[in-house]
Amino acid sequence: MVDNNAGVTLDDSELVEKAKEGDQSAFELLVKKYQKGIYRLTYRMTNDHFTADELAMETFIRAYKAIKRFRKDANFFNWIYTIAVRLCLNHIKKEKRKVNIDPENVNTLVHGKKHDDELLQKVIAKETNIKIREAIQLLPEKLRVVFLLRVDEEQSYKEISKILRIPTGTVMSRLNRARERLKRSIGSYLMSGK
Amino acid sequence: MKHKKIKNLLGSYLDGELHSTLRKAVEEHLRICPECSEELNFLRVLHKKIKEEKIPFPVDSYWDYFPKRVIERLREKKAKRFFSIKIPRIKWELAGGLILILLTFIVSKQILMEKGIKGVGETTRTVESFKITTEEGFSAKDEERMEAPPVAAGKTLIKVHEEEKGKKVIIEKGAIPSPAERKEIFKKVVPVSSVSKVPDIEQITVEKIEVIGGVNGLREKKTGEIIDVGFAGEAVQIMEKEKEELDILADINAKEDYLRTSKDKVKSKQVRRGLLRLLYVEASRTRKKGDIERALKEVETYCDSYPDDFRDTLIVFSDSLRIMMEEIIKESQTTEDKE
Repeated sequence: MVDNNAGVTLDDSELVEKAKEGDQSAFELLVKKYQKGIYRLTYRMTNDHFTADELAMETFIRAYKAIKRFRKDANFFNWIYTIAVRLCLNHIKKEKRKVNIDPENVNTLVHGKKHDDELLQKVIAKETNIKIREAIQLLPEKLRVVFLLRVDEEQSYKEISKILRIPTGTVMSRLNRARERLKRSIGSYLMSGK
Repeated sequence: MKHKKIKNLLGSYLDGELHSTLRKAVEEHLRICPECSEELNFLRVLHKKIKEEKIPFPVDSYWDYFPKRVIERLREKKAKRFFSIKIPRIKWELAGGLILILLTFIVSKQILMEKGIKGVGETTRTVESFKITTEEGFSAKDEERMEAPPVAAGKTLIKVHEEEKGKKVIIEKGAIPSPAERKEIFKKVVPVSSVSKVPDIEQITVEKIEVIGGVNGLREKKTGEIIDVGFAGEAVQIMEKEKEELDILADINAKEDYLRTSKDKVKSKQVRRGLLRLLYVEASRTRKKGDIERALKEVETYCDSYPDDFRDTLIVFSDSLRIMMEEIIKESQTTEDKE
């Protein structure tokens, strides 16, 4: 779920209605409510703080500009995540930004030679987080975003399908493909270090 | 159920997304299959580790200040817009001057190359700009022509320049006076048969771009990728111009034959649109497992390839086909039980 660190008592639809009327403080509360969730997604998608910050900021700016068109019966969480996801995917597409990881290095580290095992285990033990992050970054963005929405944001298949505007069957198949790829890249490492 | 099918369902089982019948089938299989148990164990570890893996969140003060930064940025943007509205005349004159210089250059170049000039249009007031980006580029032959900005019908100046030779072309339109006028201009720049509002969508796929008129005469471009209409604003739906012609291919086989042989990407996309509809209708009519599976496969494969209006339809098709499939499986199980 999205972090709610603001102690917000009004629900989303009330805040949205106030923001529609031009109440900036209501919109600030919405930002507070969703900022960490959106940042987490943009960071996971780009693996860079400054880009994540910029994309998170742009997400809220676009939301504010378009809020008058937001339908009362719609789900604000889905809507704002849709904007964030599209911004991330566009950014990745436009910049062709690639994380500076060579898949070969990951494989070498994971499947290294026997005499390096001791050292390897030591490195691996310290770098679990990095390895997982790298493996996620190596996923194609369409698979990555589905996987992160499911595992990080704990969204149901139905919610993911609404956010990404894809059928639930596609959500399921993309998740399967993401898991298969992760298994190939860090499967043996994860299972040996569990 | 087969081992391979169960293996594909393990992720959904772990996510709690399976219906009771399938869940039971998975659980029964897990009791007898060590490979699937191991796979499920891996998925559990993977999810656990990812949940434990903490991304480096900025410090608390960053979050305290973040909403204020958003509001500040919004104010900055408003101020910028206000500034641009205050001096439209200067901008207009500046744009006019540049256009004049450019046209003089083009005309003299054309005369030198002993080529005729066909139709020179006027410019519109510049308020903000947007781009049409196409993936299918101009051919090398067009390179020379690209140097000259064609003037589209509707008195709108279009600048065309090559970003990456042969691959990507940006057609930059310099003027969108208002959303309402924008639609009108757009209708003249591209053949639009319907324009509708699609909130919270910033981009939309274009199926055909046609730029008419210009200093170099008639120009026509086909197949575009994205029209960026700026802020979550109006999206323009480009409908098929040649729909009537394509509807002649009325049955599934004719459409499939066309798709096998045609190299026209735009037409193929439209034919496939019709094919997907037909497959859905056929599956609903026959309610045969094979037909449903076939329709489902096609619908989900091509779902991402269409603009939002048709994608929504495909999502409905997909959900409906899945429900149909579940019903048929249930029906067959009930029949088996009775027997």
